[in-house]
Amino acid sequence: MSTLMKPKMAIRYVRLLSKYQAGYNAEGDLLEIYESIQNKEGSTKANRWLFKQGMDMLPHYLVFQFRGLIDNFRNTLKMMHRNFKRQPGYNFINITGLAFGLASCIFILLFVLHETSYDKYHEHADHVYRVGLEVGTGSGSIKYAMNVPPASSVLKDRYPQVATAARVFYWYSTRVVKKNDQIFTENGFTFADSDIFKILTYHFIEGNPETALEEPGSLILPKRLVDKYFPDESALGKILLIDDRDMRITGVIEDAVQNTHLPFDIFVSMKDLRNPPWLEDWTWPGMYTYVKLMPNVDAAGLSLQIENLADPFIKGNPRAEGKTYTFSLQSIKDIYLNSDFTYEVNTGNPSILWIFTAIGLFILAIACFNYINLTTAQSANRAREVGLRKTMGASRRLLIGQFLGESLLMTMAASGCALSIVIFGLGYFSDLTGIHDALSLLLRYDMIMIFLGFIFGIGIISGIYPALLLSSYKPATIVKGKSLRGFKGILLRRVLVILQFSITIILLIGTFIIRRQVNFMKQKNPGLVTENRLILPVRGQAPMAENFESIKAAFLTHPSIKSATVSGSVPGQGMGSLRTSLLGDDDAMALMTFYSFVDADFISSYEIEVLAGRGFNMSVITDASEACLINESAVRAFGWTSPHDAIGRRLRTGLNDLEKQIIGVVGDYHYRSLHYQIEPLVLEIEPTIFGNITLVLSPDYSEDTIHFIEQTWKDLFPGRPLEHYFLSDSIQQLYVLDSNRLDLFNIFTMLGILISGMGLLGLASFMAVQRTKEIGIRKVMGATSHGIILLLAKDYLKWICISNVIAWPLVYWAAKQWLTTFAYRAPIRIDIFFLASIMTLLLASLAVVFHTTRAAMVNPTDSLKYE
Amino acid sequence: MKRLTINEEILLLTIWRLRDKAYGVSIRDKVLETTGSDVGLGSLYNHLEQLVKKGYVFSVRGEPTAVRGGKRKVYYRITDLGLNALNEARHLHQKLWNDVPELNVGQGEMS
Repeated sequence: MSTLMKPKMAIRYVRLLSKYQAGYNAEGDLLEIYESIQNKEGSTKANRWLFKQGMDMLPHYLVFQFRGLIDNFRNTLKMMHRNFKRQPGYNFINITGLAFGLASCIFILLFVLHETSYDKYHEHADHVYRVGLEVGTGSGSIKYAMNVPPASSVLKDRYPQVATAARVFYWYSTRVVKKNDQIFTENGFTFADSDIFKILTYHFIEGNPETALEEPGSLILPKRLVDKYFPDESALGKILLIDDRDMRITGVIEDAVQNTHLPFDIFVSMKDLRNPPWLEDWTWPGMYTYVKLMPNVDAAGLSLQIENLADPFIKGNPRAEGKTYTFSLQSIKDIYLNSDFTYEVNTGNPSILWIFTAIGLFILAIACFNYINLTTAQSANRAREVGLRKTMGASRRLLIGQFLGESLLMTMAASGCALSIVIFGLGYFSDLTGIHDALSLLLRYDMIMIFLGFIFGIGIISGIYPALLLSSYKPATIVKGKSLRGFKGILLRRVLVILQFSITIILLIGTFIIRRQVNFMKQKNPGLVTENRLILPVRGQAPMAENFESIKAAFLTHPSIKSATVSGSVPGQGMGSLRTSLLGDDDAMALMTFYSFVDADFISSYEIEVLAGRGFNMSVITDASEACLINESAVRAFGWTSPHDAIGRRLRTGLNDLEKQIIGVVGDYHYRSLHYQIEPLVLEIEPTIFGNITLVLSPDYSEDTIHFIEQTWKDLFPGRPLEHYFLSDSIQQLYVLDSNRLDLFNIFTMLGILISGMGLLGLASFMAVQRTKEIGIRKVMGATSHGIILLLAKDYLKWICISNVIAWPLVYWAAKQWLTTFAYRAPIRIDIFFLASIMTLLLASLAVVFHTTRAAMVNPTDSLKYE
Repeated sequence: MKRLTINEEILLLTIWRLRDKAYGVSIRDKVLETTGSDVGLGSLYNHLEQLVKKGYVFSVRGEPTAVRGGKRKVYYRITDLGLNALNEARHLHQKLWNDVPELNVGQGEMS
């Protein structure tokens, strides 16, 4: 009887399933019975029987395999353990390197997650848009994030696609709050339309969002203030005295979250504005306007439709002469990262995001490269092991699986370390970046899954090359003692090292550039003197309006106080912009300009340069009511070529619509942080706005001076606490964010260098060992130790040069991108590029020298012994 | 010594009966012949492995033959332990069934 496989191909599986039964011989039994059934009852019955047998054997097969896997796993662990014991150094470097790499990635991921989450929490975020306004003149256009006040109702009434529209007006934001006898000042008061809560989501702890702002005199407070003023009681309905006016609390909301472009949480009703004329002004963009669209509306289409919204209303308006007003919609989710409008409150920087993501990937890449390098470098060491195991019958597949398993295990160990690093560093990280809800961002189901998958992926990617390489060794060649490493091995390693160098150089240069920019901003001439300026804020309704001169005089009696001035705001503080009209026959125009409300001594106290005309003069009575100053940028904005052209022109100023004459032009000074371009500025004397006293102290002021100031204050403002701070300190604060970014960058760079360095160390050590033979021969041929060191170092030099070539253009481009966010930029000079490459060179040399010295010192006889 | 289950008992007896000719197919045929129910090779092997583990049976590898596609036959032989177990089982059965007559249906008590 011919017994060769009669069953069809499809029944081959039975063969598989029965493989492990009866000592690998079950197939024979099956065949016997199969034939007997085939003869007796025919093929079909026989096949059916066979099929059933297969099913019968399935459980056993599965259990068998499962047991196999467990054994495999146990073996892998054992192998890993032994591996570790033999080469603790390498493995330690590997794991810690990987751990740091992963930790960096996690941090950066946190950062990115946070930055991209802005404003996504609004319930209707997908349908909420802000209406922007682009005002075009002959010479260009400005895109305003704010809009003209009357636009809101027009949008709501005339466009059925708009479900609701509402405005937010950030003005008059600092007020004095009085409860019983306690007096405080609070910042952040914002006017808003009652419908705003239908559009933006604010969590109301108490009160009804629909009606909270309907009545004038309504006040919505955040929880933090309610806890402050009404601890342990309900605040709803209570009255607070705000700037001497009773306001009723109609709502309590959660404190403003961090990830929004509009970080306001104290709201008052728009009706409290009491219908000033500019509320119907179609040429003044002053309020943030938001709309919620009906579902399924095409936003882009609507945006086009509303482009000329204002045209029918502006017709005939002299202030709109020669200008185009274009409206557009901007999704609320886009504002934080992608807005290029002016007068934004809170914007982020997408290029920072990209840069940091790139850094994270870089660092991870370095860590992975390290792993691959170090593992393949060890391949020679493990060659013997592999050869032996193969002779004992290990299949290639088994070995690959095992090496991959090792790599996965190492990755998991590394990620465990990474997590602890993250937990450790979380506090510091939060401080640096201001992100405080890190845990909630991360502990999401999808994040965890991604993380696990990521680790798995890294384990496989890093491990597959070494696994393939190691398992490919043929026992015969190993036993013969030849050194194995295909050409591919060498090339890959070189490429990886070069990439590592490049990344390190990029990071270094980046750090330098950022540091330079930050320093630049700190040192740039602000156009005024900020040292020794002591600021005394005077909160609340100004008693200073009438007697500011005598107040100043009181302080000036002290010898150490050289000068005093009062003003509405101090340099660096936020300020609002108002409309300013140039009056004239031919060249009348209107602009948005910033305003500084100052007294006559302001210019001299801050030593601001006067370019044309004169500063304010107390003895000229009309100065207070009829004169104003403008800055250089205003001169340009109004279209004059020389400051002198401005003298004598008349302006209508925004605050009270008064006509004033320009009596002088001052040099541009930074009244805001250097992040912003210096925009046109108008200075007026407007005592009702005065709220800050600036005292110029002589450098030799002492405790005694401070006492005097305190005493004088007590006399002048009984019952008010004295606050004081130095202007230079408050200005430093403006750049805190940037120096934080710098710190962050520094940290990541150091991490990158650390990991690179570790990898380099391991690599150099290995390569030195590999070339022991070569070194030995060279020595015998007469080379000196020095010569050998140079020889080996030369290779590294070559690689670093290549890395530079790669790195420099990349960094340059990225830096340019980042610097565009600054109005004032430090120039990028070539010296830092060289500095970075030299530092990398030094780093590399250190590692190389250390190991090659050791190798070069070796006695040739020892190294050639094995031939 | 643990009591034999009925399956074990059947298998052991079959193996004993077959003497040195007990391998997968022959055991299966014999059991089929004796009990009338077919035994799947898979579960048969499982039981056999169990018996080996318990020490009642040991396996011997036969010579590869061309007939069975080159696979060997694996023979199973009973051990002394197995014999002991069988004896005990017989004693037990005897004790239980010693003076039991033919049982008729209907004499059971439904309580």
